[in-house]
Amino acid sequence: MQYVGELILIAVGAAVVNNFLLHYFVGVCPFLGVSRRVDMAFGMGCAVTFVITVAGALSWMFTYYILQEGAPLATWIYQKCSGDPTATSNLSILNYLIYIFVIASSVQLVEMYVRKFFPVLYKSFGVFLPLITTNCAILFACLMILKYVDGTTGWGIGQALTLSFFAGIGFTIAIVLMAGIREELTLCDVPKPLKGAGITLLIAGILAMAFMAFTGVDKQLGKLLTPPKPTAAEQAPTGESQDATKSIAYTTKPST
Amino acid sequence: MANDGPTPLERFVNGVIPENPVYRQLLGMCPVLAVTGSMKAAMTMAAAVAFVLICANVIVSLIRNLLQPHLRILVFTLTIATFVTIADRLLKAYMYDMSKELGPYIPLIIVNCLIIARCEVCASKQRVFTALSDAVGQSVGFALGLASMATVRELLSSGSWFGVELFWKTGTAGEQYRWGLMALAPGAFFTLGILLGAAVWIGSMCNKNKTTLEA
Amino acid sequence: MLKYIKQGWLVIVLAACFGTALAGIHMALKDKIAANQLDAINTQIPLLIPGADAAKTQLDEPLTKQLGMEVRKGINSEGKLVGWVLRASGSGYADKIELLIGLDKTATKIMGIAVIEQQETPCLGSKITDSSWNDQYDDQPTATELVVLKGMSPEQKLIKDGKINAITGATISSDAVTSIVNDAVTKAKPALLAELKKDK
Repeated sequence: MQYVGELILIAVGAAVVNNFLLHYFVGVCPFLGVSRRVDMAFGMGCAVTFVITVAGALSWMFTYYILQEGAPLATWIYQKCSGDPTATSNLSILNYLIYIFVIASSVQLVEMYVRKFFPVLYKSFGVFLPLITTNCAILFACLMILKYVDGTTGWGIGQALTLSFFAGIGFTIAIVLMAGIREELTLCDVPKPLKGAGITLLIAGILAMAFMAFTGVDKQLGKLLTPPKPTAAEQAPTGESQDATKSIAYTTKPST
Repeated sequence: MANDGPTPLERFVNGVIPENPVYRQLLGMCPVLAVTGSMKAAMTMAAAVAFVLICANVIVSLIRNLLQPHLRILVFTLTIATFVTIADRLLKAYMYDMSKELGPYIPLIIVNCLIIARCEVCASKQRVFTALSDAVGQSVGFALGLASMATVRELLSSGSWFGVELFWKTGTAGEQYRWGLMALAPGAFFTLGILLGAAVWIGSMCNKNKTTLEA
Repeated sequence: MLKYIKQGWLVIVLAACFGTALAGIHMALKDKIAANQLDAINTQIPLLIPGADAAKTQLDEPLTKQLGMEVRKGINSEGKLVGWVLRASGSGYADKIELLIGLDKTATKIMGIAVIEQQETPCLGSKITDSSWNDQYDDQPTATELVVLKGMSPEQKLIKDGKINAITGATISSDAVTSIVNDAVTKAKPALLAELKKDK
């Protein structure tokens, strides 16, 4: 139950609260380029979700078994080669190189697989696949996984998969919303200098503000999902927000 | 020599204003939005991008005659990823606090479209010196773009520039006027949108003047 | 086979060159980076535990292994135990928050906390690094868990009774720091006391 709760938290966090596009600004290039029509945006979103999940899982495996300090597989090989049973390997210098090649090859892999087995799907989003290699969102997901694999958090494959899949979903939500708005925008009289990228960025700003309203949703959800500790303090029942505009001081509430 | 294309000087000037990577080509937007909350972070980022761009451009230009066409993207990526790793380690060793602040955005330089586009468009076709001046020009243009964003955002969000408080000082009544939103995600999008509009508008005004003068 | 080598030799040669370069960089800078990481902690130790000597305060390996978090024994210049430093992390509003928590010798009081890593919202959540806020944790008792409240008066803040005033507009970050402190202290306290008994 604890595990499922953690996964749900990661999913909500990646998809809406800390949306990759509107909170971390990764993947802005396709966001500006491919958000003119809803169907194209949706295709792009699907392709990103597909690739990000595969790349996330692969990069977790590489990080966990080979790259991180004292990784089992690399250490085993290193010990066999050096003959020193206490030696540990640390290949973290190769992290970025490996990730970018994992991403490039998973893009290739996904493209070949989809073309062979799902020709219909390939027709709808196949054209976007080669563009995805240089989408920052994918590398960013790999780097997030790297950050949480080591040390105290110790993420497993489940968490890594959840994060990457829902990050893709979040990306799709944002880009489809944007495309919907931009389709309506063709009927509007936009000031000439702002046409194209300018107005898109301004709308993205408003969307980012809207997504800020999700702030704290995951924390409250976390409180619901984790069983209450016996000495836990009573939490303030009001919806909490980190928004500057909501900085109303509540009266002191005694602990129970 | 006539078919050599633009001279190194032209390449340099081109990168700064007429082909500014941020406002004209719209390349490499993630760092432009993400690290421009403060001037210091933005300038460190600009320096890191410049380092990678210059090194990658020079290396690619040196090996341009040996490149197999279908393997060139692979070679570009390999070169860029290597130099990004080096930049990352250098930052971690000599500017530890800054590297922590920039966090994942340093490795994200690998997928910055600006660098791969310059390798493809310029460095793989031009001689070393031309490629070098092109890279320097683009880096200066990129730094200018980052600096303009960071100046607006840092001034509005905390009244400071390069960490030096100019107005709305801490502890004074002015603190309440700080526009916190500018430091957050929406502020980044708004600033870039408005600056982009302004750049387009100024560009069109200049063009109009030129045509009226010629007429 | 020959065809592949012919086409790919450049990639292989480049990979070898870059690999060597990276290995060189790694060898040259790895000690410096490790020293930087240690420094970030060591400079905080005397501030957290008055009298502790950063050079003598080393990682206590058996306890670290037992608790799953870094534990340091605060040793003063005369070689006596004056407190404990825990390194704990947890999820904040945006990303991971890492803290150093200083406890006194008998683990009955928090001596202070220091935030060593955070990616909270600038101007709001990032105020958790301000000493004006996190000084509230100094001298708080560890007998009960700390509680976060909103809108405490200045007089209330001075009473060290396990209540922490939330940062205006950043309750979640304040909550996160407090719960990291609570979890770490609850987890570590029995082990620290057992260790103390052993020392005597």
